[in-house]
Order: sequence, then structure tokens, then C-alpha cells
Amino acid sequence: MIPTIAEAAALIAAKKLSPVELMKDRLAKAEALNPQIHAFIRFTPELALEQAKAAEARQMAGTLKGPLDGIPIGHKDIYETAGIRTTAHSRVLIDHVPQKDAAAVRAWAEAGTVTLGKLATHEFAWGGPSFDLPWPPAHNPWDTKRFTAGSSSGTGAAVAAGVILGGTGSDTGGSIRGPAALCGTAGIKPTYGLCSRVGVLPLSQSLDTVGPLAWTVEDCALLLDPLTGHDPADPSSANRPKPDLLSGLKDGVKGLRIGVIRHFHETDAPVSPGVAAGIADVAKTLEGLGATVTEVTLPPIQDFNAVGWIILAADAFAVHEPWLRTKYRDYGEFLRERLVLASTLTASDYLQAQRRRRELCDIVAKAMEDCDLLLTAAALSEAPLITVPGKWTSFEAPNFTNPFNITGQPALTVCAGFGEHGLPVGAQLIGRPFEDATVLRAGHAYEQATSWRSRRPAIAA
Amino acid sequence: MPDPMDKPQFDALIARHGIPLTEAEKEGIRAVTVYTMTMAERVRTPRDVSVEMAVTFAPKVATP
Repeated sequence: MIPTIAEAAALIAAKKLSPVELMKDRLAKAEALNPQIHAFIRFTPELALEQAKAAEARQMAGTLKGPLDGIPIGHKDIYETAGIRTTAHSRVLIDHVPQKDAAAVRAWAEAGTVTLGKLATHEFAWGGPSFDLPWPPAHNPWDTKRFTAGSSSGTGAAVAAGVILGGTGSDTGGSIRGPAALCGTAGIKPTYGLCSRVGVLPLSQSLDTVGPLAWTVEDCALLLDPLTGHDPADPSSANRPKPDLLSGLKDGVKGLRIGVIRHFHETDAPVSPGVAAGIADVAKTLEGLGATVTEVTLPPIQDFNAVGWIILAADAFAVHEPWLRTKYRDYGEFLRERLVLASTLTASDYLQAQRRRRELCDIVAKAMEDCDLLLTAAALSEAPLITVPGKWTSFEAPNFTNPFNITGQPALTVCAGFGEHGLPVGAQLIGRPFEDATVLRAGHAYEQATSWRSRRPAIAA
Repeated sequence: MPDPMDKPQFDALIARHGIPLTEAEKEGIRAVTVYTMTMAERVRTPRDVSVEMAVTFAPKVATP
């Protein structure tokens, strides 16, 4: 059985599970499965052994640091790791060896995590799925012919396969919540500004967030906790007290008001029957646990998508402009051509999108005066074949996640069952800014009331 | 869906950046400018002239 982080932490604390043995077991499984799922682009066995031995020494001495001590994890390869290549899955940074750890990498290491390696990503968090990069794209462990979504593709695949118990993702338009949906894991995009992004290669500074993917919502809460808090080195970091994500996690949803954005997934962009059934199941289950479920109407999802893509594309072009001039052919075709398309946006396009962003933020904030959480899809359907998403798909297909990058709200994907192809479907719970704890509480209550977490991909073991 | 951006406008916008594109690549990308043009139209909802953009970063408090 693959333990959750909470289960492994309890066993480690009780001296019934050796961090070194856990690390060796998961690393061996990760190396064995990687030719099928391509979740890792680099293993770090020496670092893993060193960290696991240190965790085990603390275990024996009774000085464990907390629930993450001795837990095997991985980092998306846009997180800088001191002395370990950090490439963004791109030829552009093929030899980039950072001097320092990203703030999130440091925070998890200080909590005692054991790093098994660096995880596949869509190129610079926006390029995939690409087959012309130095490493293949991650494949979905539920069916290795299928897409993981992205860009935190390796993290989604590795967590679903159980080879790591959690990992870092980043989310600019859905890059945590999309892979969580298609790979059947949990994943939270925290409130914008809640977690330091120092040392994480940027895609769009006005939308980027960092956060975890894990098998359960409880594990996401455990992983998110050390990432929160003000960091003066990050200009976007909110100068607020560190939130308490854990003490109320198991308090249930009685009295919470949940607004279903039905038109998003029923008429603006109709989802597959399996996804629709999953969303309905979340609403019904939470209502049965004591929440109140109502319907919320917002502007069409296409309004949010237009704002999100213009801002993301323009910001990304600004990041990559110098390299595009000098290293154009080092990029994969998908990313370089998307960035060139972005270069045709004008300053006025960008500023009108930012003005519309403000209007949409105000509309959503007003709607949330009458509810504590929103509920909609996390993805359009179950995972498509990996060859289906094309170069321009992100501009063509509806996106259920980027509305909440625009508004900066916390948003969580939970596995809401399995669809007509037997693959996982996700639903998305969204809270008010800086009410990440409420989102996690509702997601945890849903998981506890359903049996979806007992089912793993057949290749996981 | 509108037509793609016309070639002179597209070429002028691309020329600003000094990116080494082939003619075939330019034409392929110009053909999909409908996506960004549609989005750019969509964000231009009627609004008062004084409506401000989103302020992403909060101003910092100056330290004495």
C-alpha cells in the first residue's frame, strides 16, 4: 500500500517506518516506472539518501521536525535547486545550475522532506506537450497513452503513480489544478501572494503561484503550510500573518454556503458527462454534510479566458524576449511559436485586459458575499490521448482554472470520481482570497465522504 | 471569427522584436492571430474612461 503523507508521518513518528527504507522503496519504483510515465527528468539519489539518513537520525533521536520529516517528494524543474540542474525542461537552460534553492525548496527541506529528483514540466511551464525537447513529456499513469495536462505534468504523474507522496507545482492558468484533475490527485493553487515565488522561474509574474500536488487534500494542506508566510524578497508576497491551514481541516462543512457556477460548465463550455457527474457529486455530497448549495452567475467563462490569456501571453513574452532573439531554435516549436503570437499583442491590448481583470475581480468578489465557496469543473473531460493537444489548444479550448488566477483566489482540484473511460475526473472548489483553509476544509470533507482515494492507477504499487 | 491580422500589420509587429523567423513560420503564426484578436476584442467592454487597471502589487511601506 502506498501511504499518504499523513499516514507515513504517523508511522515515522511511531518508529514503524524507516525514512531511508521509504526513500529507497519509492526511488526504486520511480526509476522502474519512469520509462513509461517520464515523470522525472533527473533523479537525485545522493541527495535523497543524505536527507533520508538525516530524517532517520532525527526519528531515532526523537527530534522529528514535523509531519513532512522523511517524506519523499519531487520538485517541478522550474524550481531552482542549489547545485542541481534546473532546466525548465528546455534546451535553453540545459546547463543551468543554480547557486541557491528556491524559497519553497528550502522551506520543504527545512521541514525534512526527501528530494527524489526534478520533475517534468511543460517547457517553461507553457510549452507542452512537446516531443522536440531534450526529455519526453510526462505520460498519465492511468493510461500511458494519455495526457497529464500541464504544466506540472511530472508532478501529477509521479503523485498519481505513488512514486512521490507530494511535489511542487506552479499555477499561472491552471498548471496545478489541470494535472491534478487528469491524474486524479489533489492540488491547490493558493491565494496569489500567499507563498514566496523566489527562485521559481517565472511565466507571468502577475498570475504565477506556487503550490503542492498530493494524493489527498490533507496532504496538500501539510505541504502548503511551510510554504506560506511573508517573504520580503518576493514583491508579490502578501505582508500578512501566516495562516492556520491545519487546525480546522477536519471541522466539516456544516453551514458553509457553496455557489455552483453552473453556466461555466453547462452552457459556456459544456463538460463531458463524467465531469458533470463529478461536479454534481461534490455538490450533493457537501450538501449532505450540511453545506448549503446555491447557483452563482458570473460573466461568461470566455471573458475570463480572454483576460487570462492576454495577460499570461504578454507577461511570458516579456520574460522570454531576450532569449527569443538569441536562442530561438533552442525552444521547442510549441512554446516559441506561442511566444511569437504573444508578441503581436499591443500595450493597449494588455492594459485593456488588466482593466477588464479588475472588473471581473469586483464581480466575483460581489458574488462571494453570498457564498463561502464556488464550485465548477477543473477540466473539460477525462484525459485525452497525449497526441491530441496541439500547438494552439490553449487558445482554443475553454479553461476552467484561469478565472481564478485572474482573481487571485485559492482554488483546489479534488478527484470527483471516474468518467466514461474509467479515468479520473476533477472538480474545482474556489474560496475567497486568503481563505485557503476553508477550501482545504471542504475538499477534505468531500474526500472523507467518498471512496475515490482508495483507487490508484494499475501501474502504481 | 475575424480574419487573421493583415500581413503588413503582422510583419510590422514582428519586425520590432528581431526574432529570426522563416516566412513559413510567420505565415503559420499569422494564421492564428484570430485567437488573440478575438480575445483583445473581448476585453474591450464599454467602460468609463477613468476605470483603472488591476493593481497587482501592493505599494510597499517605506522604511525610515
